[in-house]
Amino acid sequence: MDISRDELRRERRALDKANDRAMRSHATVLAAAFEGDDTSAPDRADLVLGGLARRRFLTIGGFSVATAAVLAACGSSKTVEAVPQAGVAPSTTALADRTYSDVILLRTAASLERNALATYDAAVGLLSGAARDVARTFRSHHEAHAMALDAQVTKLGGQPFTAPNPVVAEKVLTPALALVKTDKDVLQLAHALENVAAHTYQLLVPILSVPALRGVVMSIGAVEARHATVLAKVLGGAPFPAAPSIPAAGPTTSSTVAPATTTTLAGGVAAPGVFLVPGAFEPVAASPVLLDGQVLSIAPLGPNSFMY
Amino acid sequence: MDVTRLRRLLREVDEEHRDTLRSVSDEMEAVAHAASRRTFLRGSLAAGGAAALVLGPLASAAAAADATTTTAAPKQPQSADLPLLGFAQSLELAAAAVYAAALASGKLTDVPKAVATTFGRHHTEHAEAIGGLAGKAAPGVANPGLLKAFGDRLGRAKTESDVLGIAFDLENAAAATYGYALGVLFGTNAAALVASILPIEARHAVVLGDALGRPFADYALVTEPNDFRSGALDPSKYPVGG
Repeated sequence: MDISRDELRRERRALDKANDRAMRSHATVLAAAFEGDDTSAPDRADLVLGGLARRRFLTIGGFSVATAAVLAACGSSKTVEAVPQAGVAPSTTALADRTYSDVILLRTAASLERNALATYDAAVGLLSGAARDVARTFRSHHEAHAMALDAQVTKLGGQPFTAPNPVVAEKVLTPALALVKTDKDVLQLAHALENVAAHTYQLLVPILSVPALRGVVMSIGAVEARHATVLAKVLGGAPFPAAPSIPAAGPTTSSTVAPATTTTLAGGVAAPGVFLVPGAFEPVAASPVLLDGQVLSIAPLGPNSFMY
Repeated sequence: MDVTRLRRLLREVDEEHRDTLRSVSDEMEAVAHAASRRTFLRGSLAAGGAAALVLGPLASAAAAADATTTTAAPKQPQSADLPLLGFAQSLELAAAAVYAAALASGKLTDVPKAVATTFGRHHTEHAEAIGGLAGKAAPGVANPGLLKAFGDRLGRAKTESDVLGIAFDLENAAAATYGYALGVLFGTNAAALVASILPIEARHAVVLGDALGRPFADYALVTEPNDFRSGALDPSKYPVGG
C-alpha cells in the first residue's frame, strides 16, 4: 500500500477540495432553502415537522421491544440459571409505549456520525498509504453527514447533539479501540462501524414520521453501506456469503468465489466473515469484529442509546 | 492490495458522498418548496416534475398525502403506495431476467458468473418480498419496457465488460429509484422494506463498478440514491402493463 509522497499530497489536496465543495454546496442550500419564502412560521413548522407541532408523535411500542437489544459489544454471554419459584406472582403494569420524535432520531444519527469521526481520529495513525487515504476520506464524509443532520435538527426546532454518542463511546468504542493494535484491526473496526451505521439508519426509517426524512437518512445510510463495501474489499472479503450448497450428482467444478464464512484462529476463536454484499437484504443484526483475538459484536443503535 | 483499484474505488465513493450531499440539499429544497404549497409531498412531486421526472402513477400519491398529514404514519401500504410497489416489483423481476439473460449470453467467466447468479437471486428475492407486501397490486411480471431497454443492450453486448456494464447501470438505476421511493411512500412497512433493499443495490453497484474498472467520470453520473431528479427509473416511461 506504499505510495509516493507526491501522490499522497495530490490525493490529499483533491480530497480537501472535494470536501470544501460539498460543504459549501450544502451550506448554501441550507441557507437558501427557506429564504424568500413567505410561508408563515407556523405553517413551516407544521409541514417540516409533519404534524409534530400539533403533538403528532409516532408511537412505536413494538419497536421499543424489538430494538431494545443492547449494544452488545464486549459483553460476556454468561448463562443465568433459572431459579425455581412458587407462590403468587405479583401483578405488574406494562410500561407505556415510548415515543421518539424525529428530532430525537436525527440527534441520535448525528451522535453516531461523531462516534465514527472519533474512531477514525483515534485510529488513523495506525494506517498508511492508500488505507490512510480511505480513512481520511470516509472521516470527511461522516463529518459532512453530522453537519447535515445537525441542520435538519435545527430546522425542526431541536438542539443539535454535537458530541459522540456517549453510550456507544463508553460501551463499544473505548473498549474496542483498546484492542486495536494493527492496521488490519483499524480497518476491521471501521468496517463494522460502517455496517452498524448503515443498519442504524435502516432502523430509523420506519420510525421517522416524514417520508422526506426517511429519504434523507437512507441517502446517508446507503453511503455508509458503500463505505462498508469498500472496506470489505480492502480487507479481502468475499463478494457474498456462500449460498447453501446442494450436493451435486457428478463431479463439481471449483469456483474462485466460494468464500469461507469464518476462519478459526489458533486460540479457537472464529473470525467473522467479511462480505462485500451481505445478502439479499441489508441486515439489521449486530456486526461482529475480531480484535486482538476477541470477537466483539456491535448492535445497531436502539432506544437505550437514543439522544433524547 | 491493489492500490490502483482501491484508489479508484475511493474516488468513486467520495463522489457518491458528494452526490448524496447534493441529494440531501435537494430534499431540503423539496421541503421548502412543499412549505410554500402547504404540503410536503405535493411539493416533492412538483419538484420532480419540474426536473422533467414525471411519475404519472404517483400523482395520486400527492393527493392522498394531503389526507394523511395529520395522522401517525401507517404501517400497511396505503393505496397511494401500491402503484409504486407494483412498479418496484416489476423492476426487480426485470433485473432478475437481465441477469438470467447475461448468464445465458455465454460471455461471463467464472467469477462474474457467480456474481450474476447471486445478484439475480437477490433481485428475485426482492420481488418476492415486495409482492408479499403489495398483495394483489403486485403485477408478478417483469417490467416489459425495462426488459426491452436492457434486453436490447444485452443483445448488442460483445464482451464481458459490456454485459457487466449493463448490470452496473441497472443497479444504479434501481438504487436511485428506491431513493426516490423512500421519499414518497407512506406505509412504514413498505418504507422499511425499501430501506433494506436500497443499500444492497448500492453494494451491487460498487462490486460491479470495481469489477469493471470504470473511470471516475462514469461513477459521477450515477448512484445518487436520494436524488429523484436523475437516475431514477420513471414509472410513466416504463409502465407495469407495458
